[in-house]
Amino acid sequence: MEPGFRASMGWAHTWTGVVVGALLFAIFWMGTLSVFDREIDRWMAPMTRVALPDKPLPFDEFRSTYDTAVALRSPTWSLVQATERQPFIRVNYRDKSGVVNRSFDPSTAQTLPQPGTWAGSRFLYPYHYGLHLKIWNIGEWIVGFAAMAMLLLCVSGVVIHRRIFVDFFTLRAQKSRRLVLDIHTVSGVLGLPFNFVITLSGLIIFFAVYFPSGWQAVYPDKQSFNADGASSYARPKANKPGNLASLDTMVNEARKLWNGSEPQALVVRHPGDAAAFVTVFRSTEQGILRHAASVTFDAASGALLHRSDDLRPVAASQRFLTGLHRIQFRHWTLRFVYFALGLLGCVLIMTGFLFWLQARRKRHAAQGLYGVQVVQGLGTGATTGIVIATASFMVINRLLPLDVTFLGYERHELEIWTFHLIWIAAFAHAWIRPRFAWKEQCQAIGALSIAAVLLNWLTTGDHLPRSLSHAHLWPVAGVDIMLLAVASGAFVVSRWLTTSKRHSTSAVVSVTGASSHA
Amino acid sequence: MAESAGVRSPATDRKGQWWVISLRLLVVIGGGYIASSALVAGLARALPLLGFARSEAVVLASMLGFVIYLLVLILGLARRSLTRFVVELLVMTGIGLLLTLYAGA
Repeated sequence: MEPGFRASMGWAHTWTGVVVGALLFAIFWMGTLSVFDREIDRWMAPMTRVALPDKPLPFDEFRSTYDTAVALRSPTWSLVQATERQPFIRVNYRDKSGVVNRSFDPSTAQTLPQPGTWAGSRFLYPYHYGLHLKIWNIGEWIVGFAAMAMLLLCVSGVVIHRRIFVDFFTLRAQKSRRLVLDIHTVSGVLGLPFNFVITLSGLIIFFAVYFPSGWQAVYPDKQSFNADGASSYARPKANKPGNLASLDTMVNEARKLWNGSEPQALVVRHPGDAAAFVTVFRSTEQGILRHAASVTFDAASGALLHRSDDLRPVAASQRFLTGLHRIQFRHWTLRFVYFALGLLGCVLIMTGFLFWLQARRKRHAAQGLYGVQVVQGLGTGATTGIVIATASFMVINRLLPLDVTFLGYERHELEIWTFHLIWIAAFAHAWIRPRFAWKEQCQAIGALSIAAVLLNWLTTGDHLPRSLSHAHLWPVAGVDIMLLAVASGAFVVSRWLTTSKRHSTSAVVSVTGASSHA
Repeated sequence: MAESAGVRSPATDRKGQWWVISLRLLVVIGGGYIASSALVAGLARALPLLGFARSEAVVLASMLGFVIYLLVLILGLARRSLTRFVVELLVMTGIGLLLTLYAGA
């Protein structure tokens, strides 16, 4: 639409970035935190800071919860073994009001208290792909739209950037205006393969949501598509009572069939019915490809009913990309690399905003346009604002008593309300005090992060020296160290903003045509 | 990226042209999705002719859909003539629909 391909891509890059940048930052930020979602769970739910025993408890230890599920006529009962990143045993079934989640100590089988928080794996992680907007999947669609915009930004960014390798070695630190652009370029070039692959694989996880036309053209409904692709087992209820044989015998049988690979979870469908069946799922920690192979047994006799086939090639590649994105496999180095690259993506988006603002500030002021004002409010609230909201989420988590309810809201809902109200307040602050917004919000991030570390110490006693010296508390130590790193980063940036503001005001006189970029 | 900021955007500078941009964005984003979606459906029906299992064809077609949509977005933003782009979208949608209706599987 502009004269020439590069000019069109320049237009597309600028305006896609400004319009979708705020949303993209939220998705990148939440995605980056989700890399360590279980570690954040340990930090926010101190009752789950338990050590993993050398020898796991037998599955049959939890039969009493199965009998509860039978009495409640729950359609399923499931048990997930403790893992390194989630060191407690989880049991799920349904009662009349919904899903019952119960947690057990992996050494003693004692019931752990309800965590009273959605923490990382239930709040931050679902935020990343669905924004917690569940009606008509609207959150997933908004995220999908932003992801397509991100792919467009990657392509258009490369097209408009001529000297991609020369500029990679350029960092003009003296001029703050150039510095912002250089950081944007370096983080963009360095993160390009990661950003492109992580965005595309994120879309591919939800292929059946975003392109329903594919399965609709071939199958009458989604169930038959899933059944055809997945080789799963199912049979209807017999409506006669039935028993449950030893779960551990079935688990051992599955272990033998998988040449020693560990089972991670089992699900019983139709508990208490004569047609009940037990599906044992293999651990997915050992490979990137995210596919839980399964073996199904008859619940009453323990006889083998079904063994899942290997995936077909295309389905396997889809599951590989899913696994690559969701990083549920065991690899600590890669986990830190993902985290760092995610943060680099956040820097990329933030400096994109800053450059857009810098390039227009003087012209818009001269022409009486309000674009800079709007984008600055949006950009500040969306970037530093969400970090403040996240830090507040962790601070309020340590302040609320465990059984608190307020105005009919439960504890985990109060935490989520705090997150959203503080985020809105950050937008308001950015709007009311535009000149000081970045600086003051950076200071707020620093103060809240340090407060979170101190509150963790005061309320749980797990201060850094203690958490560093116990292996099962390393996730807590890691989150504390991250918070301290965020705090120091935030203070450094706020100082830098103070000094660079002084420079830019003294440089006003010398700036002439250079600031008249569109 | 300095170049991008240096490009003056005639369309945004002209007053009263906002609806031209809105119309194009609607065509590119909405029309582009419909055309990509039609091609995904067509491919899902046609790929079994090349020996893919039916479920495999659906997954492959849907994954290709994201790449197709991205290319359509780029094309739509780069084409100077909106009419020409609309014709291209109609051709894509037509191919997709024909394959859906008449390809085997």
